Amino acid sequence: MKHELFPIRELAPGGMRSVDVDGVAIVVIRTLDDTLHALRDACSHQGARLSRGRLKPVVVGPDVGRYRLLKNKLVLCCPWHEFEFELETGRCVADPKHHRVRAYQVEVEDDTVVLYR
Amino acid sequence: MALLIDTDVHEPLRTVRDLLPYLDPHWQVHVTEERGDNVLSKIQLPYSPPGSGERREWRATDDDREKDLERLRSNLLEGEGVTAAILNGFFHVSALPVDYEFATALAAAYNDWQIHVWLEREPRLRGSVHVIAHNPEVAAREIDRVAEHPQIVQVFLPLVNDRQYGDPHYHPIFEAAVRNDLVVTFHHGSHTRTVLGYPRHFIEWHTVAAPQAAQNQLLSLICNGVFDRYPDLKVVFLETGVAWVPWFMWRLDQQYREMRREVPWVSRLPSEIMRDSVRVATQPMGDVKPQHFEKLVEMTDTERVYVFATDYPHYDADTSGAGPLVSLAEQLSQRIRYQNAVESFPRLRDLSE
Repeated sequence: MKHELFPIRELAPGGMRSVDVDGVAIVVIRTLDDTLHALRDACSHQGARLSRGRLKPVVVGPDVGRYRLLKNKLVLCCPWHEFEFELETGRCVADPKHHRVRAYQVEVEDDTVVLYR
Repeated sequence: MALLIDTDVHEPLRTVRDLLPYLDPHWQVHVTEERGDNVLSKIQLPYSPPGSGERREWRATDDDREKDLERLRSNLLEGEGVTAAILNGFFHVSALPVDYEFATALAAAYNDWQIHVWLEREPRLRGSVHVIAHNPEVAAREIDRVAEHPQIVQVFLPLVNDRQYGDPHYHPIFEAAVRNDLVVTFHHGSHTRTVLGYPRHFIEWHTVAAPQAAQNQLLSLICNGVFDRYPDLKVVFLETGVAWVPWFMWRLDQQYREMRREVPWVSRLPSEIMRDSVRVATQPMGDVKPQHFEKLVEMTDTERVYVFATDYPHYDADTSGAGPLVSLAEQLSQRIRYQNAVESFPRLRDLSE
């Protein structure tokens, strides 16, 4: 089902906005490269509002002691326990088998953010 | 005969002088003329354990060292029905804080003594490579040398408190173990301290020293990516009991979910790494009820983690015919008695029912 959310100008690049869609809290994320993502706005761990968390680049470690930031790949970090969720899939980076939040299809149509669920 | 693999057996070395035939002349003189035979007093336990540490009915009643093997055969192999026993010694020279060259010579001599006096006289025994972890390159060469003997199945490292085995400094040891199809086994000793050092009584030390040190070293191995670097590596923790495993798995998984960014080279949940790469000997099972142990295994999906051990000849050894293990469900019992060891020790794979 298609839901028209808000005009795209109301969400600046690098920002997040929580919306209520038929009683379900969803966080819409607009990255600096102007890509939109939408995730269920409730951490799979203890239900914290992910929209109150922070966007961070993914850290990978090719070998012990070596850190590399993937600046073009962001995760949404829970404000409570710092669980990291992939924007594209909603999977928890550390524990994708047990922790994920639902990811939704989100688009811009006629300057309006539109979500399908 | 049903298989029973004992992963923790201690063969006695009565005196360092028994190693003289295996030392080169320089270190022979060091032992005989420079009081080098006192080396073990430098890592001695400062307590008086019950029964002097040994089960009374297994204790030697004479000074005839030639009978030590006979006694082990009669008490353990025949008496306990053990079909294969892995020797771990009491000789933790890797824990010496100084004299690394002497310790290295002693470890090599001990390895040769173990092969000559024990392994080559009893095909049911398997052995360890003792190394001086301080110098991993030298340790790796010793592993390559001793691993040529087909009854050697593992590298032995003492559970110490003053090194962190996950440090990349120690990679050559794990690399050598993997390339020689050996597991790496950890066991505490008299040198192992608790977080309080040596507590005031033996009961305090004996309760937590081994599991505390095991958890610290396992944390170090996991968080420093040793299992990611060496996916074929298997490690075994001896004489730490079983009940710490669930808490440790749950706590570390939770911490990993929260702090993966700090250790991004760790590629999956620590509990998954443990199920694949870490084995824990059952002794001391203590007084856990069989149904509680079964529940513990079920809760943590660790049916493949535990391996049988007696800790022969210590006073608190687990007996194969008594205690909680006797009443376990058949499938879990078989896993613990031999299957998990056969599947985890590459050099035990020829043992099967």
